[in-house]
Amino acid sequence: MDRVAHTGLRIATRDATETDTVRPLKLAFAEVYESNVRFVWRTIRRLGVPDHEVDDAVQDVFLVVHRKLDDFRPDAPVKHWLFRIAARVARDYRRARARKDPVRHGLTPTSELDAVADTRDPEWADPVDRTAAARLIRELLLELDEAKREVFILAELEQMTAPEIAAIVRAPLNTVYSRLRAARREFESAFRRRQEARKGP
Amino acid sequence: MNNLNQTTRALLALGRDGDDPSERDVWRNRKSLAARLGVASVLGTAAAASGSSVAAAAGGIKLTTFLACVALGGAVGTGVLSVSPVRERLSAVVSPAPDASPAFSMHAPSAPRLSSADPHGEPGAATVVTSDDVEIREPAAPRPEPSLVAPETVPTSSTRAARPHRDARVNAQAPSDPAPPFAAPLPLSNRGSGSLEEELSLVRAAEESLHGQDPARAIEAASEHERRFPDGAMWEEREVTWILGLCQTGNIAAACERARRFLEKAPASPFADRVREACPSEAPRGSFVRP
Repeated sequence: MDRVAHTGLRIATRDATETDTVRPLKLAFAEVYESNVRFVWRTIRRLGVPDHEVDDAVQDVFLVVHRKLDDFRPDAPVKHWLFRIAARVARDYRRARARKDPVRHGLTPTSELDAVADTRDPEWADPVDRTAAARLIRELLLELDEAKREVFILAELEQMTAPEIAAIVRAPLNTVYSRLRAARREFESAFRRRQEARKGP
Repeated sequence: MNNLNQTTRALLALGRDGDDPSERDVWRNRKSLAARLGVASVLGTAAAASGSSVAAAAGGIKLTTFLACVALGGAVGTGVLSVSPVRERLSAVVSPAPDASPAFSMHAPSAPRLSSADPHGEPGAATVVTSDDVEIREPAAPRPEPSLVAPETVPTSSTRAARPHRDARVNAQAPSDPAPPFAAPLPLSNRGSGSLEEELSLVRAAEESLHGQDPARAIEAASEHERRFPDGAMWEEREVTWILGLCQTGNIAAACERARRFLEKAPASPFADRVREACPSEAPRGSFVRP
């Protein structure tokens, strides 16, 4: 059986000894992990899981994968399936956090300081490196609802096409387009608000 | 059609690659996951290579430095040995809990279905498993305390405050721990025959000899592995250890010849970069700088 390509693309082979009867194709868990752990990691981060919980959340995703792998039928890329699992795991983490800290409603604080203190940091609105930019993007993403956040991540950060996004989130293509338009508007508004707050009165 | 303004597009372009994990993150994640699964870590041979690169970045001596020392007849520190890929793989081996699920393998029996202990399903109800999706429902009841005995249990933030098992999981992994019995063949390779435990024993012996500054013994163990398991699951680890052993004895020509054959056979091996670093003239392509 051919190995999974490290891009995590669809499995397109079957064991030569298999008969023509329908039978789930086997995937090696190790290969699924190695091919996709980075994608899952950044997806979990972008979906709003706090930094100190990302490692655990990624493990949780792959624990689910491990349990379900025998039942996975690769009629779509593994990456699609992994994104859906990651989205659910991230939702569980955010809800658990919201239960503990209802005031913040599960939002990830940038630091232990309040928003006023953050505005004094130039990188709060004007990042100079990719780490700061990624953090700012994650903060802005939290201002979108889950559905818009997901399509925005897949389109603008993973740079997937609309049809692929529609397959992942299981929504009609037109819904993806309209959701993405709205997500872009809201993301940009959130960014603008932050820039204006940084400038001050 | 993208109707984002230029500033927003610039922000996205700058931050798009800023969410990836570091190699250390992946290494740590891999080890913890293997411990939670309660099985020997076989999360790809890339695991060991990545971990070894992390160790190198953390302060080990690069092989190029080592070779320069050899050329100058200088003393060789033990730092380079700390970055052996085999060591990282071996150090991730843990002794499974008595009731741990079998090794995750395509050849092993399927893991038990979700039970009422599954925190991502409703208590008392099996999670619906569709052919291509996962139904994960928020449980109504408090989730059970995680433990290695029930690897299906996924801890959540509510249980995360008390994670006495976590340190135990990580601390349980030590290079000197005896290799656990393997419940099933591991999914790394379909090549070769013979038990993986025997292979591991030989490759470990080679590794430890390298650490003990006994390259002759390391090469002897590696050649024994080649004799018994020419295409065994750990052939790549064997070859890398053999190449390092040859380097350590100063037999650079033989090391580079072995490296050349290795790269011909497995140019995409997770150890390929390590082997190229050992003999840079053999494979000038690509960058030796790991991201």
